[in-house]
Amino acid sequence: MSEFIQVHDIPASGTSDPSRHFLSRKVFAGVLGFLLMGAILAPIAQNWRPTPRDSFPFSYYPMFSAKRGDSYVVNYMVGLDGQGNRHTIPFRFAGSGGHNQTRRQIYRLVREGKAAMLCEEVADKVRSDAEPVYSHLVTVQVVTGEFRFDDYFNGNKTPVKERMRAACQVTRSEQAKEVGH
Amino acid sequence: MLRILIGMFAFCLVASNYFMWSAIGYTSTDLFKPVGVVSVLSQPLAPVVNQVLLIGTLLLGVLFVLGWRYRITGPAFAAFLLWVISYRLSWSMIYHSMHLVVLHVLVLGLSPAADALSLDAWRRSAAEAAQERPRAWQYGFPIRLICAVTVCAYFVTGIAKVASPLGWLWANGQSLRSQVAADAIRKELLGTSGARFFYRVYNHVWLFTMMGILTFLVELGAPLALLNKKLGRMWAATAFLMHWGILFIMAIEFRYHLSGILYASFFDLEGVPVWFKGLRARWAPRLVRATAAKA
Repeated sequence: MSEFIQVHDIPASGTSDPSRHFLSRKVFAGVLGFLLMGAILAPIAQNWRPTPRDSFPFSYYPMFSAKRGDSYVVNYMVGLDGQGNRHTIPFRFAGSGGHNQTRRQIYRLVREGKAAMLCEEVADKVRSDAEPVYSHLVTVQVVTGEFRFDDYFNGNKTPVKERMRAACQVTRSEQAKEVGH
Repeated sequence: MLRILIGMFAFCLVASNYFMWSAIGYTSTDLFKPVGVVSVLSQPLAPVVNQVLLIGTLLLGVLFVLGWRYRITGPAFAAFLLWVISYRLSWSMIYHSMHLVVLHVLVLGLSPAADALSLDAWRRSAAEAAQERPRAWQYGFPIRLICAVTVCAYFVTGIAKVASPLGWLWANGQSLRSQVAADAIRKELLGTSGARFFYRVYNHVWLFTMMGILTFLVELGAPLALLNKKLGRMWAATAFLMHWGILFIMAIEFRYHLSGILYASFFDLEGVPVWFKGLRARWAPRLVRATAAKA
């Protein structure tokens, strides 16, 4: 395979002329390079397709190109303690593939009506988590919130709208409760 | 040099994410959405197979960096890396920070990139090693190709912005600020640290306008970097600084870009070992003389 571009020792003897052999390798490498460049540039066409498809390693790099208004809708999880105070539940309770991937997965599950399933999974992980910071949570909610950028970044972090998609209890054994508290 | 640098980055990328990428294999099959070469699969691999492939990639990565039996290990590492990263991205999210490292490794893996500074070169007979290899096209061509791959990817990124519903207005600052704001909000709500500095600069739209214009210049102007070496280096330095600016203001991390290794092909790295050789040749006799004088 590496023979494609690799030109090492040109045979000194044999039927083929060394200079022609050299030239054919050069042309072959050039064609491969040309094809690679074409493959990198080809996804540009996706920009004008009704449903563009991204891929790897050849992409049309759509990041940061979406049109956004002055607000943003996001799905997330919140935990409620015994007093009803809200706490952020990190993405790692919902998935293992990093922040952005888990965010997409949460979005997909909510869109497909599987928020209750996600909620149960997260509550399960919260229950078994050893960190004391989550030991006082009694309820997990999966919510969709809409935030206005100007409000949010000027100190008002209250969502304009918030819709609860699913809620479930974090059930703990008595022993676990004692350890937690 | 380029093989060693890019190979080490790719190795570290897989090694530092080994546990996360292994864990991805256990994700619900409902979320499997294969991309690229992984599209040949209709179902995810057994998690243990994924783990074996990751370990294989790490082992091949070491051999790639060392340049051992490169005619086999070079293409093999490129193929394994392409597979494991495609598989990692086949779970509902394509991260755009990994495309170039794979493309660079593919070019290097199919090139004679281990003819110097490698175990293969060291294994050659002394007589052969003593022969200075001429500066041949097959060594320069892959480096030029890596530069071309890099600028093409940047250019495609720029086109995506111009082709978006906002068109050239993307650079007016409002759009870029909204993109970063959305990213910061979701990071905070999903429990990761957002861009603290972004709060300070949020009300200064002009700053985002400047960044938008700079982004267009770097992305759409990328092909100019192929015109000559000087332009290439200027472009590489600007793009490198732009990514550090992105990290500082937006807390968005493109490790390959931030490391500078992505732009290494624009600089004469192959001259570094030669420079060291020359330095050693100049200083070795002096050191010998000094030691002899002391004795």
